[in-house]
Amino acid sequence: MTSQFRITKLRFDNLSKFTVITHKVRDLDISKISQSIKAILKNIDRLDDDAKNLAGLLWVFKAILNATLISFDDPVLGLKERYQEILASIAKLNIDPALVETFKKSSDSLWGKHKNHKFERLLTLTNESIVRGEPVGLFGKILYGNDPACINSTISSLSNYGMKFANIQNKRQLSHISFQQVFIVAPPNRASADLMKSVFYTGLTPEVDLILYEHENFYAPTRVEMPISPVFSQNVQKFKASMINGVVNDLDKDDFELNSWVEESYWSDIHGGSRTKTALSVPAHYILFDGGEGAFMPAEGKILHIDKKHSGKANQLFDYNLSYVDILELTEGDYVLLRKNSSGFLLNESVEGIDDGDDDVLDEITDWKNALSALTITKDYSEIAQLMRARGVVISPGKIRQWEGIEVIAPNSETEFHCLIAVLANEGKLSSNIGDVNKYALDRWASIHDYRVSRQKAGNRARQTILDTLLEKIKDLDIDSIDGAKSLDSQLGQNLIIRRVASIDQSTSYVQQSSLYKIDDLRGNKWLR
Amino acid sequence: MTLFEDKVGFRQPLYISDGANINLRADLINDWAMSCIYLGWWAKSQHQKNNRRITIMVLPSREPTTALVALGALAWSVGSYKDGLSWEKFSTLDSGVEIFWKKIESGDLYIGRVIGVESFANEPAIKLEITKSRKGRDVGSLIIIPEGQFNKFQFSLERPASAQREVLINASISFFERLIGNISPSWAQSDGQDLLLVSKMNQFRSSIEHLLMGVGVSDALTELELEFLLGFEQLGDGRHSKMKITHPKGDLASNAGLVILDGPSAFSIREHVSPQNDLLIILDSLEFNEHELDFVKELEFALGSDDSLIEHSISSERFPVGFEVSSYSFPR
Repeated sequence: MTSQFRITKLRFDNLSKFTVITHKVRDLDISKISQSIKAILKNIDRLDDDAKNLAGLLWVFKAILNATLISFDDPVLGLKERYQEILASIAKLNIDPALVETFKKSSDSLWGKHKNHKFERLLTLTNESIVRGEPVGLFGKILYGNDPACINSTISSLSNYGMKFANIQNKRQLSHISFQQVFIVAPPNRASADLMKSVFYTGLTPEVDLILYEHENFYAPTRVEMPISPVFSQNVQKFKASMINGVVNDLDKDDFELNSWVEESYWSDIHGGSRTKTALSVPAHYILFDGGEGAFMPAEGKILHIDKKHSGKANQLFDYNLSYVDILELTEGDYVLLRKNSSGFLLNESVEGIDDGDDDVLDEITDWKNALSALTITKDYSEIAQLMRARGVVISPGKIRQWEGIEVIAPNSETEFHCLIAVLANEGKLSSNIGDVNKYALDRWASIHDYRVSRQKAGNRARQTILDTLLEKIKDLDIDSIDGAKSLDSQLGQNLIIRRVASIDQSTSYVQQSSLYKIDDLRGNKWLR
Repeated sequence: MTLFEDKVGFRQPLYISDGANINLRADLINDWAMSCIYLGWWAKSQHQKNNRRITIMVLPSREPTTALVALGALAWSVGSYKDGLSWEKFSTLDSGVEIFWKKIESGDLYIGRVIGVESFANEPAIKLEITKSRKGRDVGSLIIIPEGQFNKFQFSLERPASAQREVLINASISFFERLIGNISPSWAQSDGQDLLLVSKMNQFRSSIEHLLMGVGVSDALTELELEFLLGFEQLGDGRHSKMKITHPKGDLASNAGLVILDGPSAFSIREHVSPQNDLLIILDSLEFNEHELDFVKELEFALGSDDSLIEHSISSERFPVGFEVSSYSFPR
């Protein structure tokens, strides 16, 4: 097994010589189909339900055509069926006959072809790599949790040509590997942005080869860069997306508009959650699981995450652990533990059970919040932050707003808490009954600490019980194997299920409380077929 | 010469390998590894009583770069350590504090607690109660150690190293001696911590498993595993070590002066670290996102337009591609 040191060494080397090469492939039929689809999409009214449905069908059809490496008439792609469905949908709308004719003519010509030009080019380009015998990655994933272009099976069948590619599917699989070359065979229309950033910014490979049709654009992913302070301004050589050659960095207006529409339309068709807050709704994120299921989870929520790692001695044995992670920390390929038809918050439920009757204690230890609320009537959060800063504690106004609210019990640091109490006392907002201010602050902080510790202990006890039972059941099983997670469902009992994350809608939806945790079956959805 | 080598004052070439032995031709330390060591060294060297420094490093990977940053911080500590009188420190300890001591002449070990300081024959003396000793009859007895006799004992607030560990400590000291030269051998045994690392401990350990460091030249090469060179112990376990390690959810009480926060979970508990410690935050390039950017902007905002807080560039040597580093210093 390659050591992490060696991997890191390679990653720095790779970053220093990182190159992107674009290989353009000519296929007139696919170009014409893509152009006619683009023109149709531009001219239809996407607010009309039939038109919206057609747009979705066309977009998936185009994505498959561009990404697949197998013959277009291969029944496994289902392109002919999709084509018929598109024609039926077109018939309901008033679309320029010339565009439809081009689309039909070029599509008909496709079925007679038994050649995929991208595949041919891939074979030519990889001959040299195979000789060198180092790992080569292939990134063909275009849709979350789904593989309509049959990239997975293509990669398996490439072994018939004596080629071995690593199928790049999720970020986690990339942490302990370095590739001599990564091929990207289509714009990653709906693949995870983090996965693309891993390919471009972590030194995963010194060379990315883009295999694109002439009409295709590839947009380099962008990452958040850290501002460099003056003290290191001379020393840092920034690695910028602009260094990436052969890639389109400025979005084409039409592409941008279409991509934005697809992004929104995709999630809207999948979960239908509103983007607007109402009095009765709660903020949530939608998680799509592999295999076409999905569920809303509360935006501020945490979920039980199953960490898998090799047990060290043998690659076939695995160690599992459970940790409690924020919904938005999940990435594609992660495993989560859920309770079917009920709450995903297994640990919270248990902890809440243990802590029943805590309300009086909580009221007592947060009585200073009333004083803080009183102060916000005459001073805004920035002014309160200034008062704290004058006492040597630098804090953002947003933090003070959080302390006032119910989401957090108190500041996390004792220094900040003491400073806050001093400010409240100085502004005359604390009740005179509290006596000595310093003693009050010390006592309150001790109670807050005790409260936090007791909650943590209760959580730990609940977590341990669940952990022991579950870990015993999955011991030595590889949940990444084809039926790994599914076969576990039947063994877990108690309505517990394990699911692999395919994607997360990063935009917040607002849904009814009762919609949370309900697992939807989306296998028939047009985006996921 | 390797990048930054002259800055950190290494006297002999440094090597690093994941093989069974150091290969002098292939294993000379890389620029990226040396840059990590330098940044740890630099961050530790910047500690000031009145100002707190917060440094953020973004790298392609945190494994095993964090360990090399830690090594740099320890290299500065050992290089700058000067023997001092411990009496001043011990004579101010509160009564009841547990201490460990060794009678240098006999090597006898004792555990006890401080009763207080009193005058003995016109000389200040520390009074101790023995709570554990190899000789059962000593337990419960009180001893008085006048200031003039103090050097006959070796005191520590932490449990002294076991014989087995002492061998490793000596090996680590020899390594640093060859690397830096003129160091005090008593550094490793001196009181207190010099560095706290907050990290997922198992992950950190496995990132440096079997990583071998070497210093010297072909006919006189000293080799030692990085883990032993760092010689870390878990915070709160009572075992003496200059470098302590703790989990993000674990004990954070430390006066090490520098705390390294390794990764997002460690970053999330930054407010729990005593402001008396400087912070060195290490994230990988995908872990630095909007939230982390806000934090850096807050630091920039806090600096405001106070020109006296704006620092000038440290040198003209450039880190390899992939390093992003920022550092800010504020009144504590």
